[in-house]
Amino acid sequence: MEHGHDYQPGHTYNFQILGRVYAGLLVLAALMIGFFLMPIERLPIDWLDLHLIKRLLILADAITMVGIIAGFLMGLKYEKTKLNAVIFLSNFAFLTIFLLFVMADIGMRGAMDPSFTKQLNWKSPVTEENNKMQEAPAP
Amino acid sequence: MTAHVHDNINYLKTSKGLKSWLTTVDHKRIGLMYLASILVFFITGGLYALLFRLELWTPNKDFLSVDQYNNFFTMHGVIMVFLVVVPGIPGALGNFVLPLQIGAKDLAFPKLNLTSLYLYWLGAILAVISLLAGHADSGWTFYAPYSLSKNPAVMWMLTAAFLLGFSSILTGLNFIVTIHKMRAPGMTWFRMPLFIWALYATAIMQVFATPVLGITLILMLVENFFHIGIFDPALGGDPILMQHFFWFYSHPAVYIIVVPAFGIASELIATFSKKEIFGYKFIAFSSVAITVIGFLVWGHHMFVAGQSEVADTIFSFLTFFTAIPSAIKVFNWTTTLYKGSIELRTPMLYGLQVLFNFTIGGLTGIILAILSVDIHLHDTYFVVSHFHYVAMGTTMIAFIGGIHYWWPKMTGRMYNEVVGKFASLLVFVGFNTVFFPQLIMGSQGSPRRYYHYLPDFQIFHQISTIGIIILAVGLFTALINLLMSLRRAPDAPQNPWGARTLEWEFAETPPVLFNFKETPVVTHGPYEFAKEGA
Amino acid sequence: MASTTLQEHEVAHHFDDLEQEFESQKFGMWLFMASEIMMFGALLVGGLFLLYLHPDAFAESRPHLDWRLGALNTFFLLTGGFTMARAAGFAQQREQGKVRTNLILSLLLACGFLVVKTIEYKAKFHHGLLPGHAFHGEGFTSLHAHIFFGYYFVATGLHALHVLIGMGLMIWCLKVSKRVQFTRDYYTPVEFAGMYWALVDLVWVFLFPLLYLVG
Repeated sequence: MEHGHDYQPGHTYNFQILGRVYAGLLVLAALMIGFFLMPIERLPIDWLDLHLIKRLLILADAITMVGIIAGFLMGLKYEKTKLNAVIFLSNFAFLTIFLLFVMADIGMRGAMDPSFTKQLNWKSPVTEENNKMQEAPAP
Repeated sequence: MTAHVHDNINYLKTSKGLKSWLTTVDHKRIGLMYLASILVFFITGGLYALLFRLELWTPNKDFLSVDQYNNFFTMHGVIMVFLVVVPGIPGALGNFVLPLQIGAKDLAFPKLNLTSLYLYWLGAILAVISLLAGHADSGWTFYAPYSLSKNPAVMWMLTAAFLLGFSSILTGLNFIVTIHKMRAPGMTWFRMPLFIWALYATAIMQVFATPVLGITLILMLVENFFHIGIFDPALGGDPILMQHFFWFYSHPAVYIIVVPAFGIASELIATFSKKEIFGYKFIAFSSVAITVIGFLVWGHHMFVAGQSEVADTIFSFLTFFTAIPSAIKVFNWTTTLYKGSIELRTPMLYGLQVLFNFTIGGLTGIILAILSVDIHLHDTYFVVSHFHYVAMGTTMIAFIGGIHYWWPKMTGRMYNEVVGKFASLLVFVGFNTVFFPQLIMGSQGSPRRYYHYLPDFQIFHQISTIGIIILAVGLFTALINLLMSLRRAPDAPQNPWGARTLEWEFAETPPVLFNFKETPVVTHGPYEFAKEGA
Repeated sequence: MASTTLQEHEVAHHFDDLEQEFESQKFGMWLFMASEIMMFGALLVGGLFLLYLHPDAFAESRPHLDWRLGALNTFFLLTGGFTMARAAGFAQQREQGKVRTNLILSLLLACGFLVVKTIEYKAKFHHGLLPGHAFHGEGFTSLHAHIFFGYYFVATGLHALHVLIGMGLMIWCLKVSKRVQFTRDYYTPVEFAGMYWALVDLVWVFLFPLLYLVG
């Protein structure tokens, strides 16, 4: 049926590239744990939010790993039809929208009218006290 | 790929017996099974509505207890949303028509299609179990924390909705792949009938939004069993987060419900005006635009729920944008009618009703999107009426119109035209008698979901109840008319409406097992009536 | 190696040719993965929301998860992804035997993941770090530590369920490999099982830092 038609499904796997991808992923995973173990408490820097930087580094590392997994192990890089990539990436767009809008709610309750949160406060008072304690010294 | 002898016999006769239906992978038979199941649930859900509307004849207790009343409107909501309108048009008509309209032998994944039908049935069974397990009374939205009170009926219902969502994802996935990969030679994107465009837009929402419903329902179940405290305020959770999760699916679900109806309306209005549809590309892309905007507006369900005012403002602003693609459709349908040679056959009567009802349903939506007005109208009968003008007045009317339109293709029989027209008139009068008074009493502040109401509103409730009786008579007349036609000998011509789409021009009535005796080659657009005078 | 009874794959009746069949199936697979990611993504959004709502509970509870076990599991999953890709590569080369070896290796790695997971769960049960009212962990000042552990169990449980489904797919591939000869034109089952396993990896790469490292 399909003979005489020089179509080949998918891409041909290259074991050399695969090996490098695997090694790269392991290095990134080790790096992630390295970021986590960084002894930032001991550094004499207080003009920078090192906790935030640590989180951002870990996040960037995770995103890189996801990119490599999707690109090479799932084969998104080799897809000839752009559509597959569009479909696969568009859900990240939807999720970003979801996150941003949910945060626009939770992060901004009472931003315009401070009495608003007093009326509708789902947080228990005990947690609020804990939050205040949390804000003062870094853990 | 060997040709079997029975390949050229019509699909209803290729094999016989219950087993051959239950194990079939033929999209036409699966479509018919969906149709039968959905009609059964439509009647069930309708009977619930009839009963609690009768109860509302007087402001006092008549024959339902308070618990029963809560249970009945919940059952009406859950059945109608999850078992009727969401799977309705894609499952029944989409399954049957989609491969025929694009010239494919079947959907891309026939076994997956059967799987989604079985998941639908399983979900339906669980819904029935919920009915036996007690009184589900949370409303179809399952808002926390009330739905977290370990009511077994609610928990069964959550599981049912999860399975139905899964079924919906698989159907959507199947449709997208089929539309992309299985079109006949010559069937370019802009030669696809608008029904296909609508199903495509719907399928995108099914695939991308429904998983969020899945995780919401999983979290609700876990919350019920283990009290993890994500949604339960007593444990430190946030019930508004639950509403975010729920509406991130359920607002696109509103468009999953209504966009296929737009597709049917486009088919009906173009075919019975015998005129190239006005602004084909605008209608096609407006379906896609509704899909995209539909993902950005879910927060307008939560204006008074305790969401931040910033989010309120953003969502209100974005909601106005949905008016643009919706209006594009209404204007283009109206322009298509202009100077067309309109034939008022039964399906067309339903098509025109869609135009009328959706204009009301859409415009009341704009009113509700205005923040300050919504604070007055929220949770009143105005909202009830608004979404019934869309879900019932647009979707179900289009669905019924579509059944009348494709009935000859499905069964090979013509129904009685006079009875059909009479029934559609009853449906139109009945529907508007039910819901127009609700708009008025809602704007005067009558709250929804209550068992009692102020005696001042009795007259509106009574008109509404009279309306539902007319509506029920109309719907049963239509159903009996369709079923009676089955007793006749097959008499439908291949193309009774003079339509220009593939399923009428190329496929036999009823179609053969693999739809076409040979692969059709498409040489013209779906609505090119003018050139040959058809 | 390949026995004599292996069949060649035949294109299903409703497809015109191999190209249409493979491209359709691949496209369907991508859509399915997209919907899976929407589901897990929403779960992660929920997690971030809770992190924002109760940072104290997260900060206090996070050290109770052992990052070493998490790292070991990351290693198992990534290696599994590597062996699955190799299995697909060998399927293209008609090396039925090597396909099976790699599938079995992946299966073992997946089992390893589940064993580690069980050890972790056991420790949580032992210390009473459980969701909701069952929570009786000691030394917590935050009132909402139970939410962290509730979320932990839901998220890792759902992920573990996907690990099980992935293992099911590997077993299915092993079965197919005994019946059908994989070729350069037909290696779809192994390819798709590999894609699914990559999805399991991908979700873990987000879950691992969110639960074990950030908080």
